[in-house]
Amino acid sequence: MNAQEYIASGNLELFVYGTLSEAENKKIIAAMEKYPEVKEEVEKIEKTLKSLAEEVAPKVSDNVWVAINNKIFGGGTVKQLETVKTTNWLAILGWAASVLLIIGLFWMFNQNATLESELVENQKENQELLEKIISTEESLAETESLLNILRDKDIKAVNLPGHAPVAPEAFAKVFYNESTKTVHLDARGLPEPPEGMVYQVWSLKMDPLTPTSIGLLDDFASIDNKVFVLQDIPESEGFGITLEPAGGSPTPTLEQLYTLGVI
Amino acid sequence: MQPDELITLLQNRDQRAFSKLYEMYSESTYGIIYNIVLDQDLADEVLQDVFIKIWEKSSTYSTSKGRFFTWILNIARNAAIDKIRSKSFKNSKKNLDADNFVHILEDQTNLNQTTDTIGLRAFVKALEPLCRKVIDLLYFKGFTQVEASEKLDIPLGTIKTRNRNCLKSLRNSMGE
Repeated sequence: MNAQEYIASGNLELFVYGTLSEAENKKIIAAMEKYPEVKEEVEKIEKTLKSLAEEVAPKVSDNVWVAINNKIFGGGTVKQLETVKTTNWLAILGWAASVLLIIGLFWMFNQNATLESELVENQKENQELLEKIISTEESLAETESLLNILRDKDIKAVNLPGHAPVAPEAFAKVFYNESTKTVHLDARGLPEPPEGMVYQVWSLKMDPLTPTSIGLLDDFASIDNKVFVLQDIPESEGFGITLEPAGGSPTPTLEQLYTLGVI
Repeated sequence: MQPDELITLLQNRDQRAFSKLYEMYSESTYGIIYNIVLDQDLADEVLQDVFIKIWEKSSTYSTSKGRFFTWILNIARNAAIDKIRSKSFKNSKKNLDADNFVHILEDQTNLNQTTDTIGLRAFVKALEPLCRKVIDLLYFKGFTQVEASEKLDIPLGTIKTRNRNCLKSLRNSMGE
């Protein structure tokens, strides 16, 4: 076919309509390249059809282009998303730092509390140790003073063995200082007095036998070393201990004579 | 003239080229779509879809296959027909039969009102009834010659020629 035959065939119109077969399409395209008149004719047909289509519909609303743009190039949203992501990282970092700080503070607070309670305990221990030392020193001083008394050259030691009918196992010792009129009585060998009773100590003159009360062993149970100090002792030739009702008696109850000794 | 440079730019994802091509082809594309769906809102939707498709599928167009205008025309016709099918228009067949671009020209008052097309519009209205039907079926509705021949009950051999003569008349009236 030559150019005029192509133009007259009516196929160029159908080519623009898009209703030709693939093979016929190829022929037209080849002819358009070969004959400028064919190409020109196709473009004229296209122009007419385009104008026709433009005239038979209402004008396109501007909204359509806006919608197309939004759908295809909605790029703003993507950028916003990225910004949000960055902000999120910062926020996460901030939160993580806060959490770490809180954990750290809590840990330090715990440590401080532990140290404080340890300190208090140590102080308490120190106090207890100090008290022990003081009491030990006091005890030592007491023992030393006792020892000094016993070593005094004027001291007379008197054994008071148990009085067989009442208390054969009992015994006591008297350290008598005539010059200071003082008696240290070691009553460790005596049993605890029954409820409502008390030991009473007597100074004895032998000729005639005269007992004089020189004291009651009150608080017998509470004194650990069972050493009692008695003062203002009259001149004595012997000592005895009886069990009497609480408050003591004016004269010794001889049935309850526990120990007796003579200088 | 076909804007081959713009088309190449479009195929390279150039937004400005796309915008320019929209300016050039949106009205005619809308005309095709409107003649099929016969509803402005639906035509708006379809035009959107068609140009999104043009953007996304631009790489599938090649000058060796045909005209860019024809490529768009095919996309538009298919999209419009899909739309009225998906909307399950009860009267779609009837609409396709009864309404053609001439009726639209007569019915609508809000059409493009440019002075240089007044002559065209007048001549379209003056077209022979058979011309209107042939152009409507082949161009706007995308019928094949065989389908149009059966539909209009005229010999297959005369469809092509009749169509050419009808279009030629239109062209002449446009001052060529």
